[in-house]
Amino acid sequence: MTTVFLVDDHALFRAGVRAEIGGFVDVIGEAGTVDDAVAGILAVRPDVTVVDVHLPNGGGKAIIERVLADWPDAVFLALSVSDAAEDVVAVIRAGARGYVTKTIDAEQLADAIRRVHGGDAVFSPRLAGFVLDAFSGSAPAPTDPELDQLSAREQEVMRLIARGYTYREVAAQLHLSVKTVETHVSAVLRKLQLSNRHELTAWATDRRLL
Amino acid sequence: MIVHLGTNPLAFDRRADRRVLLGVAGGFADQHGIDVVVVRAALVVLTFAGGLGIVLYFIGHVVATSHGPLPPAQPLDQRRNLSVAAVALGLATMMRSTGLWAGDALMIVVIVVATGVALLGVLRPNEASSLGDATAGDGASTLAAVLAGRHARWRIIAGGALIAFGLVLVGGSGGLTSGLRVGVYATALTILGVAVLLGPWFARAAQEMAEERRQRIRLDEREAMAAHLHDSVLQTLALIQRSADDPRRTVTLARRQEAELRQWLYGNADTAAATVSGALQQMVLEVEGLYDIRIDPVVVGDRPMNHDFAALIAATREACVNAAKHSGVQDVSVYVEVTANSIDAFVRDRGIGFDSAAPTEGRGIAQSIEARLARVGGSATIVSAPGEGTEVRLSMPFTSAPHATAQDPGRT
Repeated sequence: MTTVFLVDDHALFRAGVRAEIGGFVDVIGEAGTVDDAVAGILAVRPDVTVVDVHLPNGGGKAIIERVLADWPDAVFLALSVSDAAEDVVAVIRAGARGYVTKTIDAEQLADAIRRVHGGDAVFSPRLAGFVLDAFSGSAPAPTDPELDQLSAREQEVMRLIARGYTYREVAAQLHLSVKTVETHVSAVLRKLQLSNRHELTAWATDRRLL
Repeated sequence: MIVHLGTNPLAFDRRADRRVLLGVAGGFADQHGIDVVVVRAALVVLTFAGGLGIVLYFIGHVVATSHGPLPPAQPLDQRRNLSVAAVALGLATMMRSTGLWAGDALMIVVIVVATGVALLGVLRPNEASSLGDATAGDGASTLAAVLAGRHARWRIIAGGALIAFGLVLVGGSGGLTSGLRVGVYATALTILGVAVLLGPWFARAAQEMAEERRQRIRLDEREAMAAHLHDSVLQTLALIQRSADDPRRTVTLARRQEAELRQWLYGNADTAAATVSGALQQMVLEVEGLYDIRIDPVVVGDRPMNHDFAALIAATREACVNAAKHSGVQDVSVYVEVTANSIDAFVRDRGIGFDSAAPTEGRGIAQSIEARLARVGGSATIVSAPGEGTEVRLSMPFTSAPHATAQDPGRT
């Protein structure tokens, strides 16, 4: 079973998640603060760390950055009620492989955990919306089109995910294999993480994030 | 000299408190920084100059502004009654110095009767109720004490006696002057007597009616507010208590109620609804509040709202409501994308679905949404199959206006 480390500053929420996904994955540790989390993750080396976006003293972003500095192969899934694009994108750019909202049900969460463990990216509809918003439109021609822009296919995939389609449904809709859809999503994630130029900057400036 | 632009330079506020008659002298004194006693004394003196004081007093009353109905004069003491007497005396003097005097013989009778009527007429309800308490044996009570409102029984007796005396005088001296003048004055006297006798009662009744109306308006407002709070806040609180184990629903309810209350309290100044994303959020909160569903709206791009967009939001709402009613599931995905020249909305559920090829099922829904959108140049497609959920796709092209500042689609 996939081993999981839970980070959330609400003990009640951790207990709830642990109870819910306990049947699907093996929760081997949990923490409520950034320091505890970093120490715990590095000690138990879980397959996947489910990390809350909002935590005192730096949030999920700080945990991901500090753990990755010591252990580059760590895998993170961001889990949040936060609707603010800047927080979510910051965690993704720090290295999280996916973002799901706390309204997700247990089975879907377990599935998302397995997915990021398998190397895939997990996009909730909301994250897909953020991505489309960030990469869409009106920005002037980027310096490195290859990296900075989403391909037409990637945009289609993102759009369907934003509409609430599962990967399987996206694949059926676009007559692709699920594997191809996963490849597209991973590519989008990489672009989101690596693209520190034009659009994201402009997008962030638009929202007074920088 | 100070000139009050745009207002009557003579205007002053009548004094509502500590007034004796109508608050004119006090208001005038307040306005011009004169001792009120001086003003009153001047009025009294001028009253003997052909009644000028009374004329001035009533001019002052007309010119003066007053805020709302005057509260009862406080205190209701003998000053007020003496003032009334002074005014009456002044009036009589004025009449005598002008052509309105009908001869001493008749007018003295009139004055005697009027005094009696006045004594009776100024009887107030609180005095009437305390009649039984009046000390009968106080034979030494002075006119001032009677006028001051004490010893109501003595006043009634004195008033009645004066009236009777006056009537006797009228009967005994009927042929004193020419019949016509006597007739005119007798009529006038009767009317005046009735007016004096019933005047205070009418004034009181009118004041009570005004007060009652104010109370009723206040009561109506209270009822309206109570009704609103009952329909909204109390209902929501009841719902929250019932769904205490469902934090998400509780939060949704609380948020919706907050938005609604804000709107109610502060009017339509809600700027959130000024953009497509804001209007969508509001719509979602509303539908989530009405039906037991969770809607996760995702918005890409944004624009200021306009009439056409409102039609699309309304169609989106209808699709959400249909999903809530018919899909059998509690999760609905809503995705709205605003591009440079079109706005698209997708409402998707994973419910029971229906055969969208069949002519009967779903036809009404499609037609209503389609018709709504067709009026503003949009289109709607419904994709569904039994067991596979339903997706309503709405699209509306528009001619591109200057690009709106994009807003964070998801920020709440």
